[in-house]
Amino acid sequence: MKRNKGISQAGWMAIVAGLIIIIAAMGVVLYLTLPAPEKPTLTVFSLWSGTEEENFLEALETFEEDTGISVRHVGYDTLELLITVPTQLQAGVAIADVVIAPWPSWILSLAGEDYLTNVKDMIDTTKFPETYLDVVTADSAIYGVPFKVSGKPGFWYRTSFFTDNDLTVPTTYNEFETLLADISAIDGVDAAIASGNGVGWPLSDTTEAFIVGLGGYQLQLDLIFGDEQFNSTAVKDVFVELASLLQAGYFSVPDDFDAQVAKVWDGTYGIYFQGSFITAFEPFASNLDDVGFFPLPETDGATGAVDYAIMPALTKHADEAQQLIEFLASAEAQEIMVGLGGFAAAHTDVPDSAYSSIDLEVLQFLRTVTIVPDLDDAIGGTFQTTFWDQLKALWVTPTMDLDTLLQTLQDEWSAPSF
Amino acid sequence: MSRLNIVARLKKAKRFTILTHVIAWAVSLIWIIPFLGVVMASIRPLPEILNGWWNFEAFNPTLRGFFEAWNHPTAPLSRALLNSLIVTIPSTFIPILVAALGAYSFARFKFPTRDFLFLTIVLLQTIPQQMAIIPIFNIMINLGLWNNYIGLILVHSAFALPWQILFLRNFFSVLPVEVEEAARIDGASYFKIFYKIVLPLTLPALASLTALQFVWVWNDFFFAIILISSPELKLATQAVPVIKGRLFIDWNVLSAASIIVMIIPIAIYVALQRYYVKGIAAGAVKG
Amino acid sequence: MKGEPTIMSPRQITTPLLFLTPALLLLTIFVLFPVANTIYISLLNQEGEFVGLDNYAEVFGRRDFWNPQNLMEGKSPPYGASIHNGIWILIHLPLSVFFGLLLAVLLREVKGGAIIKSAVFLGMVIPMIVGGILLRFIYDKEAGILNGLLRVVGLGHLARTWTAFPQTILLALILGSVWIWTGFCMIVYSAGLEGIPVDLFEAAKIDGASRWRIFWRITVPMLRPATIVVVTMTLLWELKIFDIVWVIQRGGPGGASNVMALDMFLDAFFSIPPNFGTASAIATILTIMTFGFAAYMVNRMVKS
Repeated sequence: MKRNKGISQAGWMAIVAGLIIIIAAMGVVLYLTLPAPEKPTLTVFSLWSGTEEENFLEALETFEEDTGISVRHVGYDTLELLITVPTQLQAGVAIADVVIAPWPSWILSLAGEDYLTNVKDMIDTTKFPETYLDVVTADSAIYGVPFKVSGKPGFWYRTSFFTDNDLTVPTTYNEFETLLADISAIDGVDAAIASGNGVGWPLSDTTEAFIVGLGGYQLQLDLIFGDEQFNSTAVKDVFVELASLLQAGYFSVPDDFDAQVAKVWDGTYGIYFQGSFITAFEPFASNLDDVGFFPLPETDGATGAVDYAIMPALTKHADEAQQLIEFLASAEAQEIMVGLGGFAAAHTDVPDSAYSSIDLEVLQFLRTVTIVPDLDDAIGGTFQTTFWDQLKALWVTPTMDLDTLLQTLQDEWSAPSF
Repeated sequence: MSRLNIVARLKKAKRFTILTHVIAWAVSLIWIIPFLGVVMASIRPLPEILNGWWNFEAFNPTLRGFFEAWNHPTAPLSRALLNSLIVTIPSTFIPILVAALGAYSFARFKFPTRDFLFLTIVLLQTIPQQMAIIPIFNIMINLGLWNNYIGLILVHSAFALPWQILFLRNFFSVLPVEVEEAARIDGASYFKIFYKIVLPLTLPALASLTALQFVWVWNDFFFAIILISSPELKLATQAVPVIKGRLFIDWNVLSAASIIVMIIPIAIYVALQRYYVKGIAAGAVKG
Repeated sequence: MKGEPTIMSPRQITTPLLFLTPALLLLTIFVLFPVANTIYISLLNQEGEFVGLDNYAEVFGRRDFWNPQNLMEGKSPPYGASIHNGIWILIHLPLSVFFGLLLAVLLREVKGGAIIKSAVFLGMVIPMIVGGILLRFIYDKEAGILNGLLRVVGLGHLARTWTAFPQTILLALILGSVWIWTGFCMIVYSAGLEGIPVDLFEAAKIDGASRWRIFWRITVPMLRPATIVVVTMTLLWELKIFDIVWVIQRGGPGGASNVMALDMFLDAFFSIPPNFGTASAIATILTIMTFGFAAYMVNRMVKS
């Protein structure tokens, strides 16, 4: 403001006035041209987006046709959903009438605050595997309806690779070790087991398979919730075994997890521990007839996730929400979701014909074991990144000191967020 | 001083000027590059962006990003902008009025506890949002104003008052008081004096407050995410993280969304820059 | 305050009260009471019982709030939210103040200085959420210009998404926030510089003082009020940081970018049941850290 040239004060005020008018006009235009937000009867929150969301919307269409109840779906990020729902319920307002989430302990803590409706009488409890219902049951009230199931069933392989090399699927742990030795002996094989890379989750998935397989599913649960220490004998035994397999050279150098699929296919590696979604990757995807898996023998659990539908008690549309819950719990709805591929239904009445044969195998296996949460996903935080880092170190140096490794993990453990 | 000395000094001055100009323009380049980047990214297709927006071998500008951001399925910016306007405009004008009334009485009236009250109010301007948000959350729930724009507007208005009252009081203090005194002698009420005489003279100060408050409320995120939850009520700042997503980022759409959201406060700043800067310089410390 | 004209002062109290009531009402309900309430809540546990300073002790016992071990052993972050804010202050405050002052001084004498100032200040005008997006963009492995630069000078092997790694995210965010905040320091110092009477400079020049001397002996001391404002507001901003951290990695990865405002937010709105006690404790700790400066600054403002 050194010189007095330029716009006068009156001029500036005119600019201000003009600006205010423009912005107000913008507001009015927007207000008039935007369609009023639809007010559907029910609102559903979930983590889904993209294809998963499209699949769900298709299933919802059937519901809307059958009942005439309009439903809108809003997809959220993990942390957003974990914050939005408790905040709403704490505020005494249920914006969501139904929420679909894969965290049983979170559901139970919501139930503990009396935020959820008991859905026991809305479903036929005989149609769901007990293990799925147990984790959302408290005081004989059930708070979640199992809907979709995804899991990490075991080691994937090319069936023709096995037949060509006279290999058989192991049914005991000893047979498993023999298998690893046999595969390693084959010409052209660099390592028996492919190791995936990424930020570290493929290695942690594999490690957890051993924790559950050798230590039992309860061990995994105890580790998650702090009822067991990482430096206990049970856990150390698992890691000792894992380290010995690593030292025997049975695991490959970690590489891009999707690229490893091709290497399993061409015989560079023999088997690959992965989640069932791996069937969507080439060359598996186009050759599903030639793809098989087997769980770590004698295991009693598998890491995975079950999506549960829950109903906040404060919903303003209890009747309609109940109808939606009943629909989601029905074989009909679940069959639609399954038909679109990639996951398994929780309802036992969904016909086998709805699945691709490999999806069916995964499902049938998952029904026979207890599904437990993924260890590092459940604990999260610094534990997860430490876990990944330590495993990467272990894969590179299998002779490293296990006591230090386990102590580091124990130090980073903190109570799971959900 | 000898002539040689003068020449040497002039040379030194010239070098200094060149140096300062170089530094100044280098600095401006560094500061503007991020904005340049996001503008580029908003009009170029994703593959070009991933190759580096500073590369111009392939240049196929497109407005797709803006369309997708405007009509985004989960967080459409069309609605988010409207929502932000609905909140920001009242949150700008209400506190100005309230602050002006209050500041005037601090400047012109003498009453017990005046200085103490004033000091307390001014001290409140350094209170961070975090220090008040939990009780505010509970208050809103009890008033039935949680997830309601009225609640948010009230909170923004209240938080604006401390610095606005300070600013306006200082402004009023230097306004010559004779006209008001004359009107008082003529028998005008205090309200009339305030409304008819003082306010018109205060317009430049009000312009500063308008600029600062509008930008502040528009840019707010913390109050918004805690007090506004329904998807269709979300404000512009809440829409942006949703569009970002988590694993895969569509830079084209995200940049377009960012530009849409920031163009409004930038426009206010550019148009009202003189008042905006005056406001900050006068210690209206809304950082 | 200046001498008030007695004619303008109403004799009864009702008029001042009327003028002040709306403001007092809003302030009491939405600012004063909440602040007092927050302090009160910080002394309660989750069941509502009075537990004194337990929440404060608990908060400092938490590794995501206070983890100096990692720092002292020279490991990478996370060091705990409070330490992260501390590091933020240590790096961001001197840099912003320095660049703010430097730019304010330089741009006075540069043609087009006003435009450059506007450009630098732009970072303060945008929402911090968008600021975070801009930073994330700069640091991206493929799309980010920082890595582009590294590749150009042959250091391409260092290229990575700097905000995806616990070792680097904090520093990346801090330096990025300097870019955002410097404009504020610059503007305040600019105004401060204009407030210095020109004759002081003239007199010094006549006396043959060098630029350096003028700067240190005249400019800096005369800028003291501005410096107080700049330091206090910058401190406050560094302690309140939330939006940037939220939009980039929600405080991750692994808590390496956690800050106090985020920590209290999670305590209040992520915990089931909400942990308002510890959240309030964190908020109080945060506020106390500026309180000394804030009170001093405000005192000076009111006196002036």
